[in-house]
Amino acid sequence: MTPKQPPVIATWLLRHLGCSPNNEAVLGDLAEEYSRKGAVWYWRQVLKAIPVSAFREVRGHKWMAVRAIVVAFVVWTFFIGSEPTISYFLPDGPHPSLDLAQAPRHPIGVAGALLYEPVFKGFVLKHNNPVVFLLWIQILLPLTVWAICGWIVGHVDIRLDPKLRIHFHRDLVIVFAGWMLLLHLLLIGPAISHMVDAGASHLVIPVVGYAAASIVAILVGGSLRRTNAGVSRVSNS
Amino acid sequence: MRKGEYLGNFELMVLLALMRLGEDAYGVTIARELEEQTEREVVIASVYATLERLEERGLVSSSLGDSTPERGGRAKRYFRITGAGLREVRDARRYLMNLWKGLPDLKGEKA
Repeated sequence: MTPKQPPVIATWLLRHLGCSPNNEAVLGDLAEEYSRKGAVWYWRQVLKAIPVSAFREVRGHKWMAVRAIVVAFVVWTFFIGSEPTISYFLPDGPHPSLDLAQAPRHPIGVAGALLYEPVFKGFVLKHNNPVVFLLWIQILLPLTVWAICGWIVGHVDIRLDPKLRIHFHRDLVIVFAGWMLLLHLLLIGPAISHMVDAGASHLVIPVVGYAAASIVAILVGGSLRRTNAGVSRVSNS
Repeated sequence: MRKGEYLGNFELMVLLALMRLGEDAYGVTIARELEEQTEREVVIASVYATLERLEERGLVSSSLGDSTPERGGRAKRYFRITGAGLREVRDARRYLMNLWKGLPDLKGEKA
């Protein structure tokens, strides 16, 4: 028997990540059809609706999408650059400076080194308090920064085009997350083979986990914005 | 509509569905109509993306309708084809009919 309410998580995802101006109408239509077609159909519709609406919106605003992604990368690069300063304030232990000397001297290697620096750093540097170090440098800080990147991407349209602000932020976040996912997929393959060859196979799981967590952080950061999505919602009363 | 810009296949199907449904054309009914006629599953968001594009081009218009509890209190958005949309459908029909004329029957396919 189909429950009366559609899947909550799927609804939440579409509500926060769907970027069609008619997002509420889409949600209403899905809810109406849910009792007839069931949860699998509902999930399938939601998972297709998010990229469909994002692609449509971004296609009409390409430069804004590029601008948002560039802004996010600047933030991330700034974080990497300032990480030695941040680690200086860590309790207990040496405060080594970070450089990218270990990065291969070609663009892909440098991009990989920038992206996965927090993971590599934990294994390269010796710290007196590994738990604090791991938690701070490798998990909390990078995920916070990725969430901030997602948040910035979601807000970059406010000043640039106020008319679009209700819905436009979401598609940029989706595009940014999708772009990062693609980048991870392109970089992780060669990186894993390089790690295995270099006898550092213990890095594989942290790198993959970190990549997945960064995507989630971007999406969460991007959804941390109150929207006017409920404007067209009509009360039952 | 810009000169030289033809209706896409799905756009034409959506416009035809609007014509068939008349006053009762909103996301669910349009998707059902398309599914019945094409025997394929339709993504409701794709229908809306197409309708939004058609609305930007002035081929359809929309208005907010009523809501029902089964929709979680969300309003329906009804769509109607405009005069410009009707002209586009008529032109598309003429182009397609002209292209079909003189072609031999497709062997192995039902008419």
